[in-house]
Amino acid sequence: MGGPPGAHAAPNKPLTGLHDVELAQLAMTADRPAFGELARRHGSAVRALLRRMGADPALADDLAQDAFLAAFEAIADFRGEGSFAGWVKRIAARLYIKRWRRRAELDPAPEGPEQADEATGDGMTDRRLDLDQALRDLSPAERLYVSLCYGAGLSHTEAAEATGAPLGTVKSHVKRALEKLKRRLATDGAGASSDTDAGRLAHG
Amino acid sequence: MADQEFDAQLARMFAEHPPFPDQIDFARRVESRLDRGWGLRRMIIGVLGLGGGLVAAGQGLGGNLIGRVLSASHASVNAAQHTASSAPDLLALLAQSWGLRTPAVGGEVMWLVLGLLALAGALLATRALEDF
Repeated sequence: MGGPPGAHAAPNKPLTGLHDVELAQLAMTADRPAFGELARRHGSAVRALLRRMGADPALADDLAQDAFLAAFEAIADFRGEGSFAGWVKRIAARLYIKRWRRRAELDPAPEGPEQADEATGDGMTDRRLDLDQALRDLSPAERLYVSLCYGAGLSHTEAAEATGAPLGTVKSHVKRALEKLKRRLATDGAGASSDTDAGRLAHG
Repeated sequence: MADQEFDAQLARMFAEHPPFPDQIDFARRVESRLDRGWGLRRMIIGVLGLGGGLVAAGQGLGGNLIGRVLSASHASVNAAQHTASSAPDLLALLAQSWGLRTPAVGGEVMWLVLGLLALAGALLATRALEDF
């Protein structure tokens, strides 16, 4: 969806035919319908990420809206070097972290993820596992950090800065999360199940 | 190597997401919140402007601003007339010192020429700004 950097918005084309960069340029001139088109295109990606990070559907929708409003305010900062979706995802992820920290839910100490491992050992073999299901089996911190790094594209350092956790803690959460996800997804061949995965997430 | 492949696979899986069935409604909600924000901003600016205008008008009336503006206006007219009457003499003096002959023009003509020159300069500057 990302358009060529430096592209100029074509006012005669319908909004649906414009690149993200062109829409962003229109949005810089306070063109709200152009920004609405961006929200239509990338709203699902942002909401999906927030749900994968651990937000419930209502909170994910609220925070996604807040993220788009914040993106509109800061649209001049979007230079089209990366994708627009990636840029808004980062904003949304930071908003979610802020919320998480405010609620003091972020516990840098390792939580009991091993329990989830053992508990799912028997019943899960009969079920078709997918990314979302596998994420649900992680501890909240593991889920958050792996989503931040692989979903929002933050580096370990950026994730540590955003959450205020030590870098070593972030790395160990991500490492543990990856080990678990690898085991789960390898068992189930989850790569092929991403379509059904997507559908379930949309309606979840 | 296997780790890198898994990293790439995981990033792809995160990038895949469903089109939510209410994505159009979601976009509308975002747009309506933007509209609300802009409406509120406009209202606040309007109210502040009105308040500022009322305060300024009150201050102006209270401080006899109109009388002061009128006297300042008279003073500036007098000063302009004085300058206009002495400017041609100054020009003639300058021209004489350079050994030039000056046409017999009135102060009004000179001010008109200067005004046209200023206008031409402004037009050139505008054009240059548009081009670059």
